[in-house]
Amino acid sequence: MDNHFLEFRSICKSFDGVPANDRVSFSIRAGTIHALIGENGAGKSTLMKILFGLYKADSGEILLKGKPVNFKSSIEAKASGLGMVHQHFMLAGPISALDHIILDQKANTESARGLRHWLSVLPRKKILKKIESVAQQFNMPVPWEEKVENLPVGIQQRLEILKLLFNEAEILILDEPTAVLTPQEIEGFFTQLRALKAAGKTIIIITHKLKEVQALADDFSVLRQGQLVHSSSLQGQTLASLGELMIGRQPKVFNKNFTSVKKTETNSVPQVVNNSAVLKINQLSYQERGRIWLDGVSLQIGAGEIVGLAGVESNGQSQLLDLLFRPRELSGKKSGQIQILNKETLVFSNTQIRALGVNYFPEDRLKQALLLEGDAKENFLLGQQWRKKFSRFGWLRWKNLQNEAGQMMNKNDVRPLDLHLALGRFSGGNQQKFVVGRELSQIPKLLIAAQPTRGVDIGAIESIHGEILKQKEAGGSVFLISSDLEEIIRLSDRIYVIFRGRIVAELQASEYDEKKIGAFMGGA
Amino acid sequence: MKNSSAWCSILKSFFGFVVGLSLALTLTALAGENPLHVLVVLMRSSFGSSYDFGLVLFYTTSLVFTGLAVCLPFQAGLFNIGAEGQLTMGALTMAAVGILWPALAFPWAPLLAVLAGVFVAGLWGFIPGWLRASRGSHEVIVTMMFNFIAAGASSYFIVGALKSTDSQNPETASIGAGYLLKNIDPIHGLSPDSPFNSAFLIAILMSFITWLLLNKTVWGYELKAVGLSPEAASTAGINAKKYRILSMILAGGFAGLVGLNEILGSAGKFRLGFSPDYGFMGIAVALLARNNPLGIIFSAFLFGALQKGATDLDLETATITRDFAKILQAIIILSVAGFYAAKFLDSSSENSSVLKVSILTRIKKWLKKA
Repeated sequence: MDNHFLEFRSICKSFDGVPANDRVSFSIRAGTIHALIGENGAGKSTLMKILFGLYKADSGEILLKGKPVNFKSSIEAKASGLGMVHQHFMLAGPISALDHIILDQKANTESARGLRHWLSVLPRKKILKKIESVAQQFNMPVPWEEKVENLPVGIQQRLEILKLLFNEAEILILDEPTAVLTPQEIEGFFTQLRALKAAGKTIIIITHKLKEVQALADDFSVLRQGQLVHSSSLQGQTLASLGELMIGRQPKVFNKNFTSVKKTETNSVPQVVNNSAVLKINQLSYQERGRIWLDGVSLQIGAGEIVGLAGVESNGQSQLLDLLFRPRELSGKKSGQIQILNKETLVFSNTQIRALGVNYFPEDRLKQALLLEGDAKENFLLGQQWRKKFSRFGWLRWKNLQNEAGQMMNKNDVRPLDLHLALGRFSGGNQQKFVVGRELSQIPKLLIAAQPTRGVDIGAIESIHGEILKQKEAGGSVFLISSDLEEIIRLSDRIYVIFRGRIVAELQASEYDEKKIGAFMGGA
Repeated sequence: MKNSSAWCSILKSFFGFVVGLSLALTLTALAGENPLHVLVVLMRSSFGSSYDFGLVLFYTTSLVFTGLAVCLPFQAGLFNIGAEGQLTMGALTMAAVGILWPALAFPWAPLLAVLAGVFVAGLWGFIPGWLRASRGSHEVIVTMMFNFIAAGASSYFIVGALKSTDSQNPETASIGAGYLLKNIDPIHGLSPDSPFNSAFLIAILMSFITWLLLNKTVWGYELKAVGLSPEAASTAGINAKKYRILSMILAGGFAGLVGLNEILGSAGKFRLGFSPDYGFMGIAVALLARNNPLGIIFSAFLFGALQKGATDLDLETATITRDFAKILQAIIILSVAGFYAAKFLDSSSENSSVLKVSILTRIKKWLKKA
């Protein structure tokens, strides 16, 4: 086995003088699964983007099979057998899934085949047949003719992975690949990765889910604040030791008492009676474009309660979220009732719903919660621009705003602490910490948290979970919608399970059992 | 960070302008002119006398208005190419008011005319804005069509209802004397022979008001949020439709104020073809200023000078015609736009190398010393 199949030598890269990679050197063995772990902003994605030709390193070199390589673009990297799935998908909304595969093929072969290729008819049917067989082989069905923007995030991820598999890449770089998959899907996905490894491919997986590292990887490397702190075989490592390497101290999440401590707190909260329900949904149904998305959903959340909604993605959660937060913008057929703090909100605008004290972490934070080109202070203002603290008679009070934004970023450990930096330049985890901090600084009565820790590392998960629990301690309610079962079990006082638009189970804390809930999620 | 990016913008505009001008002058050499002579003509044309300079500022005034008319919708994510039609409707309305009630006395007369003109021009912006927000019709197409309608309407009224009785030129009758800004004009005397008038002060004032609106008020913030991400804005409880329509109404109003400069400030009547495409030059003005309302004052001045220079190049050189002058303008715009697009000097760019950053810091240091 080639121990120096892919070698990084003293890679340095800095942005605005802030080093993202600082003299990173390590090697990856051929035919292994190599996990690259580290907190948000540790420089993992930057390093991989350098490898893939998207960024240029300030100094240092990369050797592939002993030869220095310096890809100037991702097309060059692809031609040398690399493939990458980015954390934020590189998909174009109005184009069909199949066309993405074709587009990718076209981009990769263009230069090789020249004019004749330009003039040739696209072999759509042939490609469809081929990609369908690949999809079948890995058991990853995709509705090929559907526009990508209509596909749920989970399927979009699938499409991205299939693109690599279709290109027969030798080295697969996966940035947070399992973030959007369900537990069952993850199992299947791992089986596929192992099969790929057996077929001689080398896989680099960027992740902060340490359990997955343990289950999957042969070797691992750890980055902390841009520097490589460890690189070795996985043998002899425990979850706790991995966590410690990653964040430089013992993480709380692995403290077995963490969950039980939370449970005792739950018991001290008085049981909620029906009429004090903060959120009450009664026989809610929703129909759009001939499809029944929600079918007689009833649930309620009391004051100071965290209620989880477990379910595989696209079983009606997105529609439920929209009905809760911006019902007027949904054009389909609605019936039933939603009451927030005893007000019928199905006819409210989202400004009115916000005014009731409802805050929201949207599923897709990039699109719905952030102005990526706006800077941090402008983003902090979003959604609270009319609060007296931040504006008087329509004039913005930038000083107050800067102070509070700075405090919030400091408190939530959003890095870098730069109020003038565009939000699009923060890492994914820091963006999410930013959204969490902003929404919770408004002290909501009801917090709707959709996939609050998707694509976020363990340090950030710890802090976001802590914030959600604090919200509950302060007497607020939380409606937690997540496809991460572990997260739901850890945080929720009660769990509803949704399957094909119906609530199929309601479980009390004493009845939690991952397997049982998983079965409900699968429709059993 | 903020300062450095502002410096970047200014430096980029400056370099872009210099490179564009050099390229353009080289081109005149190919046409058989002496580039130095062309440059001298250009400079003299703008700064040669108080009359020349006054005329440049007169153009500047109209271009500030149309620049703002492009900038504001752009901040809300819309592309207004209808400033030409909006300014035509505004000017036509002002002329119509001045002709229909000629006896009105000074302070009320121009006030009424401006209100009416801004209202109609605002309506000319509102309709495309409303169609976009509620029906999804693309504002570029609709505003373009509205330009044609406005052009047709102005011709119709000039040969019809508002026809001049004592002139063969395609223009309306003169408006009442009480409408003219000359009645109190603190700055017209600075360049008494040119059409330069106090509308210039209003243009500067409008730039400042727009700047305040965009940067210091909640409405401006919400408008920009809609432009940056309509979906995130609506999640934050901002009515994106409302702001899109509002930005187009204001844009129309700003464009309509060109009538203040032309009709009430100088000509006293609506002359067909008075605008050398102010509306379209407004796009370039806003682009050069990167949609910063204060920057628009400077870029409008630059385009005003180029406009003035174009006329004189036509007269004073053998080969450079008005059309050629348009080419020179276009080269400068392209060059400035190119400098923005390039990551050159951009310290926050991902491609920037240490060398480029150091150039920037050196220039900054040098500027501090100076």
